[in-house]
Amino acid sequence: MKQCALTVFLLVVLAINFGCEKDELPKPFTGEASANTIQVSMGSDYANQLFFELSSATIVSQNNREIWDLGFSCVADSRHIVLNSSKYMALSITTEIDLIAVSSSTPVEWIYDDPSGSEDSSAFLNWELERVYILDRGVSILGQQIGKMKFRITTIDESGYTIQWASSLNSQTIETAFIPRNDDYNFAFFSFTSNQTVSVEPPKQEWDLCFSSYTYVYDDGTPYLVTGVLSNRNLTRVIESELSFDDIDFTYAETVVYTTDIDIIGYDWKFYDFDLATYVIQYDKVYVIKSVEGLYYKLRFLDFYDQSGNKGAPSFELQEIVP
Amino acid sequence: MILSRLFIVPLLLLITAFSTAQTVVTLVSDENKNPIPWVQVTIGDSSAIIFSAGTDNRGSFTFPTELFGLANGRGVIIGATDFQPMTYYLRKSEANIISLKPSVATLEEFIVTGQLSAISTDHSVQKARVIDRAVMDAKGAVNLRDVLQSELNIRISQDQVLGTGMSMQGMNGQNVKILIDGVPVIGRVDGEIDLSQINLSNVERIEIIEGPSSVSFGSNALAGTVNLITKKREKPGQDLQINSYVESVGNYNLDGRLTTNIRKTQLQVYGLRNYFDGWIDTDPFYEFPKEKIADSGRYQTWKPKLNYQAGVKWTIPVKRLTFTPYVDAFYEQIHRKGYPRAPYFNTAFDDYYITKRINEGILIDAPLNDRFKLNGVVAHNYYERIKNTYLKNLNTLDQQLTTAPGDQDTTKFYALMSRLSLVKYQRDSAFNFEIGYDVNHESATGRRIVSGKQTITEIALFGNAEIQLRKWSLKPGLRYTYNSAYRSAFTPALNLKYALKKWTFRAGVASGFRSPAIKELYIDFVDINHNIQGNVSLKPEQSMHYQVWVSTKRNLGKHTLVVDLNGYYQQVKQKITLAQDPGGVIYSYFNLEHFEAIGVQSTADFAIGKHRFKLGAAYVGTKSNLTVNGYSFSPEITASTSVFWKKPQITFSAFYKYTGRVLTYFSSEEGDPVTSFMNDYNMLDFSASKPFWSKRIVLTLGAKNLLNVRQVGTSSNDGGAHSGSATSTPVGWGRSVYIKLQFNIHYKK
Repeated sequence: MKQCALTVFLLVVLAINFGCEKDELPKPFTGEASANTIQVSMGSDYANQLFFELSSATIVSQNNREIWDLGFSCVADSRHIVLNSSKYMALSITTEIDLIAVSSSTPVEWIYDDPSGSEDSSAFLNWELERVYILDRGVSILGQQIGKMKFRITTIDESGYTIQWASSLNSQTIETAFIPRNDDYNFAFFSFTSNQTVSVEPPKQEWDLCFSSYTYVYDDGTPYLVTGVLSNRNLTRVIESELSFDDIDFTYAETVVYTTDIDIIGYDWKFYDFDLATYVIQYDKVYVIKSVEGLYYKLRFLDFYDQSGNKGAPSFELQEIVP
Repeated sequence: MILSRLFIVPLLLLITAFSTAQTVVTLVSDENKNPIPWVQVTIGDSSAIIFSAGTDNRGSFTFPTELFGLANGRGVIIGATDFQPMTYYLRKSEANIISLKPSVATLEEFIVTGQLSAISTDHSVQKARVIDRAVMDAKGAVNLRDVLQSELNIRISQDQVLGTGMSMQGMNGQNVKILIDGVPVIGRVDGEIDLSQINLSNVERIEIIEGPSSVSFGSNALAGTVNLITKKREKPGQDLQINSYVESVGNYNLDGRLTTNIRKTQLQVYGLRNYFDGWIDTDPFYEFPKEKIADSGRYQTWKPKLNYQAGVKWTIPVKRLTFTPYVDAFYEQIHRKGYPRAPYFNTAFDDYYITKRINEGILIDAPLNDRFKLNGVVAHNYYERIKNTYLKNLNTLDQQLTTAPGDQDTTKFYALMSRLSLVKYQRDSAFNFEIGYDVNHESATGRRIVSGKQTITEIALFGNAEIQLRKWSLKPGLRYTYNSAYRSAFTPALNLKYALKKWTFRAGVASGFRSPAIKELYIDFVDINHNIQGNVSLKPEQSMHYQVWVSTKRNLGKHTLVVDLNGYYQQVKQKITLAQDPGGVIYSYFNLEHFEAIGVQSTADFAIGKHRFKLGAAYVGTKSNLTVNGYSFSPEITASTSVFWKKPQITFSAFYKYTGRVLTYFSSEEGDPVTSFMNDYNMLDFSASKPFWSKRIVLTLGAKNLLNVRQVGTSSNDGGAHSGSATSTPVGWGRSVYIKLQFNIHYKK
């Protein structure tokens, strides 16, 4: 009897030892992207800059973010020069006015464009003619250092900018180019790879938002490459609303105070959750946008991954706000 | 009769195998079935002693054939120091195994790690800690994590993907050497060996040496060495062991082992399957795995894990030599089920982490004569870790591999090692020594390694001597290392022992080193978010370790009390840390940190008959040039007991550990002090075990983590205007109970 009870007990213990991973049961389909959901893809390595027009809800232009280095303002009386912050470019001001005198042993102190896009917080603020600047051309999409070079601006007028450069710090070979202003555009873009102006932004009246990586600078001055959305700096206005998506109406959109910062949408509508090992969207972030045409839109993000699970593909809900 | 009580007698087969013409007598302890080396033995009858000898390191001695005229056919009284005399009928030209009862409750343990010969921890020049099979069983320990969790001066850390790491004497696990039978375990992920991947089912004993053993074991053995001694030879016949372990949290473990004799050789075959069904705070106390809807309930903080392991070990005696070829294969799959992705919860990212290990080699044990012996090993270890990420459609349960760079990764390590030492050992000799070589050739492949593949070769010569001068023992050691990455290094050590009748004093000065790992030299991890590059000009980490031990052993009638007090100080120079290079863009490894640890620990071990009580306390402080405000101290308390209730043959065991709060001060970039801490917690385990059917079945019921610790709060606070951030780190999966069954069936030949 005792033996028998023991045997039964042993068999029971052995029987419950065969735990294994069970198949899951399919979960019923829930929710669906609404008709005004749009998905765009920069590529999982964020290789591309996408210029998006709200009125047509399409990408009007896109380019690889490595193709340009500097942007020169086309506004007639402006001296604004921007670094290609999508590839982590930095600038160092030297005490020299002679390009040849600058070499790799010249001391450097790197400064970055402020992500808000304000001219008065840009690296090139109050740049001087003839002054030699050292450019760090940043990091390639594959993560490699592109290189450092020296550069100066020799003339500026209503028609454009004349620049001189040497393609590396110790180079004695000086090259010169003229960059004309074109009033249809915000900036004229120049590449030190092809040594010529390149087409990047579409005409300034034709786009509202740019999906791109860019350099964010923390309060303590630490720069960090992030991925998000910048707005058309001269024409599009954005505000992050405290109202919910559904509560935003035309009256609100008309009366709310917009800022000129280009990184209001920025990168922080998503964050990387280390526990879940994935990007997570902050749905409560809702943006109200006044487009280049003066129309109002509201926007919120739904996802950062495409159908195949590749990141760098934001999908968002976009709705025009009508009276 | 006596024979049938012996189950685990390591090293016996060797003696039976090559000694058929001689009468070899082996003494084993009745308590733990371990051989009794180095004791004085007398054989005689009630009136006179006819023979006396000392046992060797295997607990054996040879009884001269010519004396059989006196002993044959009648019982002789066998006496050994500290053991009760017993009457035994010696059989001529056969192996005689005699099980002796200790005359008083002993607290003796034997170690081999870093020793010239198996030696009791009382007599070893260096102090060592031994965790034997009984303690592992009483703890319900499945893997190395379970057993080290309640050990003094060792702290366990858990990462749900990388696995379980540890720290010892305040230093992290990359400075702890883990060995199986003296062969280094490879496959360090982020510097740490995943302790939960080291299963104990085939382990007989764990030896822990605190402080550097770099003279004997080379790189990584700075903070300490953990050597797992696998089950070895047993007595002739066939043995079948089956263990079943079920824990309420969702652990289902089964392992088996068959030992059999083929002519003079012995073959061991073993295998195991362990399955853990994952755990999250909201889990019920017990639930058998079942099909569930793929909703948010699929996410678990502790990931489900499946383990297989199998191996063969063959012990082949050839004349006086013993060859032990072995192969061991391990497979682990961790399934990290992703949280359904908002806003529609129809898809999730699932990761699979697969680890494969294959260890193979030959152990060689070759006594040349009664003074010299060769110990050697040639081993090949293989480690592979695969990460796959899938996007899973939760509506259809289809999944596809994602294409993002870095989502799929395979890293492989190969290591070829060989060590051979010539040992001169005689128990009563004033001068014993060993000299040997140690060669390690390791290579790594993976997409994050420069050129896809890199190798490091390390060749070392080492020597240890033991000089005995009355009450003094002196053990100097020296290792010369040539490493293909940084050329050469000398590593000396000196240990000292002064033994009185009741008091033993020990002191040690040892240097240690850690060679830069392949990853630190050659990593090339550059993508959109990372830029980590290896540094080929890294130097090895160098340490100096000073320690003193005071031990006293008191025999109080039938009771024994052992008290140990230990103090140590360790400094590590040019410790390798990940830091930004002066250019500011690239992260790389540099010899930047200067680390110091200081600590005291004390243990009291009290045995009354078969009952045991142990208390321990430690106070460890660490600091480095990257921290401020001096040493950061943290206390620890351990207590354990094992009580034997004779009438129903039940052994009750309890293990308790208090892990103190750890507070670290850093300096922020602006120079403000920043503190970070991990709160304290208490762990309490309990078990009761009872043998049935003349010990063929042992049933253990136990409870783990009785105080229900799940997460422990951690926080960092920069003390200034900014607020601190509070998080928690997983420590345990809460209270659970387990049932363990051990079958042990022995057939005599």
